[in-house]
Amino acid sequence: MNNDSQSFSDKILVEKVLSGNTQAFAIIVKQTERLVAQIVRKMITNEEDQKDLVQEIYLKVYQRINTFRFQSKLSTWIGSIAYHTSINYLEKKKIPLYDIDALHENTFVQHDNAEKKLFRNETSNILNSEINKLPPIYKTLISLYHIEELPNKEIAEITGLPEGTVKSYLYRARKILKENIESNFKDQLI
Amino acid sequence: MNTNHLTDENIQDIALKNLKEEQLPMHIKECTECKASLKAYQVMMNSMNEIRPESFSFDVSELVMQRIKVAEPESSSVWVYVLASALIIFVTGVLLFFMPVLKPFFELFHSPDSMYNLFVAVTSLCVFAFLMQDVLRQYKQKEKLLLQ
Ligand SMILES: [Zn+2]
Repeated sequence: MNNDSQSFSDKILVEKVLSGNTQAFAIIVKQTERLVAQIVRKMITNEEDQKDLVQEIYLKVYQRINTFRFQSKLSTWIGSIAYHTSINYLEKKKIPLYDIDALHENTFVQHDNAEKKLFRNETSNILNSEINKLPPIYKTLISLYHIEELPNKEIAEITGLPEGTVKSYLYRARKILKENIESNFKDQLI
Repeated sequence: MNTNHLTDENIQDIALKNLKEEQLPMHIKECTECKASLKAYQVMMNSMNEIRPESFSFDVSELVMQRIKVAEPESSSVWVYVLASALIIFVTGVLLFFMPVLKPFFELFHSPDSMYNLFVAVTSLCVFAFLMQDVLRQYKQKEKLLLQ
């Protein structure tokens, strides 16, 4: 869908929700569910917490939809609510958001052998498990860029980070991923 | 040969652009180290495409729409009760106030025929119910707009 028709369909949906049509809201949920999953599931692993968060996110969307000004895509705006709600949750739980070194060393040692047996020679599985070991912000950025295929500008709008910061976090994350995968393969060859 | 290696960022950018062999910078073609790094990034980025997107293990629509629908009647039902009680108080007040004036009017319908009385009562109740339903429907629409 191109930008114009996207914003036109956003407008129709928002107007319908504002006039009390809950079916229109159900369509919005269906359309944005994947993006929200990409953000929430990358940041929060506990399923019960995911359920609470998803409800909280969409309730916020429903209650604030009258403040949406169509300056971005509706999905970007919802992605931003999902991102910030998840960040708040992690901050409350005092989970480090950026601490790349500490997190990477610990998790790598903990899960390495088991995962190696399970996913031997399956690069994309190894890569996915390595992505999941990254700190929350980094893995979210990686999945938004590479799996959701969003441009840096849209990721910046979702996260509220400057575009340059998004870019440099992505560089760092990819570098760590590459090094970890290389060491993973090297270990397997020994 | 140029011994200034490309930066890691440069190599990532090249890998992201998915350039053809002949479009690669000369240094990459000549330097085994940078070439190996580029190859590793290319393999990694290709593998990214094979990763399945995240999805929830539960039905998001069902969960969310339940929550939205639960949140809705709570707020509206309170207003419906408030509106109904205000209306009852108002109507009773008006009836009591105008009783002396309305008495001769009611006497007009004081027919000894009970079927006739029943007919008048049912018709007025139906008209009243239709009017109330319409008022409530319009009120709910406006309330929804206000609450959002
Ligand atoms: Zn080089």
